[in-house]
Amino acid sequence: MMNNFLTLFIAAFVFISCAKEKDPIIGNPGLAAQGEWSIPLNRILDGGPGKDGIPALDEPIFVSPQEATYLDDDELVIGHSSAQESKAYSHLVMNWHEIANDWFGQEPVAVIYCPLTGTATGWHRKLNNQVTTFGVSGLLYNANVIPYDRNTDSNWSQLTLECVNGELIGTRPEMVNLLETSWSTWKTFFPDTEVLSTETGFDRSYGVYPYGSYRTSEGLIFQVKDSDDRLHPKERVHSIISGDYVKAYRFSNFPETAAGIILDNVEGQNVVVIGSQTQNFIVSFFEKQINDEVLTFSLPSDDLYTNGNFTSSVILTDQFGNNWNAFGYAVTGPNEGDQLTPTMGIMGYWFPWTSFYTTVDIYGEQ
Amino acid sequence: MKMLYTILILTLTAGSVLGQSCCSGGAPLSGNLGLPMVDGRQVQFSISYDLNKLNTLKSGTETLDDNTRTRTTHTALFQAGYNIDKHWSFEILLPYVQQEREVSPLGLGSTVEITNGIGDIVFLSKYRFLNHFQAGLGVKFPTGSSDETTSRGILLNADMQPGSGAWDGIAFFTSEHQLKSRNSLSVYSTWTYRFTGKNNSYLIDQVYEFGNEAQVQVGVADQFLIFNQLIGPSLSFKYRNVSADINDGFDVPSTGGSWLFIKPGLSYLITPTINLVTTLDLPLYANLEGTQVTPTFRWNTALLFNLKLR
Repeated sequence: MMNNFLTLFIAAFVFISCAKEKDPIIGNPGLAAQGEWSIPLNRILDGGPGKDGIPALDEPIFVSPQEATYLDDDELVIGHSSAQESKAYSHLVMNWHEIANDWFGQEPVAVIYCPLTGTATGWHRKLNNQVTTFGVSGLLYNANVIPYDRNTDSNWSQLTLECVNGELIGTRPEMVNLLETSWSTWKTFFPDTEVLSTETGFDRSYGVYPYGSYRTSEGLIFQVKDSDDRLHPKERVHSIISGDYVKAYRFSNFPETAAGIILDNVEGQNVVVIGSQTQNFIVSFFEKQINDEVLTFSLPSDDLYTNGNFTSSVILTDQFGNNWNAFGYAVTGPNEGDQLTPTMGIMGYWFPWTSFYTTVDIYGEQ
Repeated sequence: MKMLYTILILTLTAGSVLGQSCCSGGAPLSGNLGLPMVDGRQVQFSISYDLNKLNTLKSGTETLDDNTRTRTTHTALFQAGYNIDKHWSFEILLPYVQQEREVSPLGLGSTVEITNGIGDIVFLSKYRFLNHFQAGLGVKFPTGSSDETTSRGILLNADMQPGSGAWDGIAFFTSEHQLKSRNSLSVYSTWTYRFTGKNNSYLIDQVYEFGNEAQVQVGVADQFLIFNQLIGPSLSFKYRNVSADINDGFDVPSTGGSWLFIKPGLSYLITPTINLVTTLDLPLYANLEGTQVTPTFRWNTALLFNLKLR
């Protein structure tokens, strides 16, 4: 009797002790992305929850603003708007899912939001003529999300804006312009909008920010290659990317109680940057000519801009009488339907940019 | 009588008194820390297996309807103790840890990540006084690996490492009283506190510290003769409180919290010197910081050997 017990117990002990070292079982081994990375392997970290441990939203459900009682006016949303529809993705929901695989009209799009770097990007989901969906790999590069596409299991870096590992390595996603602002401003701009519902199919505490004091503290959960103490790490800036160069625009670059327009040059290209502290947004577009004449922008007329706030999505007017909205569409005027070309501008925390791009300047500072 | 006493103590101390941070699978470094109080010079050792299964997702006190993430820690432990005299004793615990993380999202297959290796070794010295009490101080050495990577060479976070990479201090106190009306029935309590140290090379260049941890356990144990075999059931309650982990000086989100477990246990005397003890930890209540995958159950089985020296 005793010998049996001993044998059994020792066998169990030996079994555990001799367990194979690092023997991962991948559920879909045929798609397991292997091979080279175009980013330094020692800067890629495991975030903790594991692959798909943070579940992307594959069939997001939207509700009207009246039904979105979970959202306070000052909560941040990421939005997309076209003539056909306006959709808002609240940080409160995206904090828990990071990716929403959705459709803008007939276009398959992934809205990708990294809560650790505070950055949101919209990517077309059609890659090599195949519609894919993106998932959360559970990996981070310089504290920034690495999405993976489920068709090829390739890994992508949100802030290098390219595929960094797998079959599609080197491929750059086609970007979709997004706007980050407060829920209040978004509703003012796009009153017919829909907004992400908390009925996601997942049981999460959407009213609770999952990262504690992270968004205001100076601390990082995952360190980045280069720290840059010119600004508070979590200050939200609008960063315009041009090749390996980034120029960051701060809310403080704009008046405290009114909207402002900045005309600037980024790596040889003229840009117009519009921002508002009170309405909590910054957007930017490249200079545009109509009839060989460079557009000269100003804030819109009184009915569209009152007491320092925009009363609709129109944020610019030009010398021809066109009114341009926050997505750069001429919504009224002789060139109605025309569009300003958005820059590669991304809202996000200050801290990651110097780890991703060689030169990062701050507007207004040497 | 001495044999009964030995069984009783073996049963009482079979439960875990230390663990890793709340969000981790938790290598039970002291799964059996605190070998029995015995009289005279004796050598004690045990081998045990500890399974810690975390498959419950909680936010604060609320259990979320999501079981797609599972953390499992298998630990094989070897423990040896030496009683110098009726007061002083010391023990050492050597763990071998296997950490598993499985994510099974609907319709996407599952992914499992596994690490394993020698864990952190614990040394504990104890002093027994007034016959019923024992106090101890210990050290946990950073012998376990804390830089394990995935099969693709990507560094895993602290939660998946066999070791913490830090020196910890341990304080230990236990008491045990037999009832006069029923000699085999005993009431016991154990208190432990772990002062955690810092891992200064976490994820290459970060400083990580698991949260300090306090545990209190109170329970009762008895013995019965069933089919001429000595069986010792026990029942205890364990309260565990863990502070948030600290990374580079800032609290790590979704770490730390409080738990209350009920711990039924059973022992079986194989020979006068060998005892088989098994315990189960079942959570009754938890109040967590943020959202965490938290213990669903924990099972520990140990073979305890007690050799009296001449």
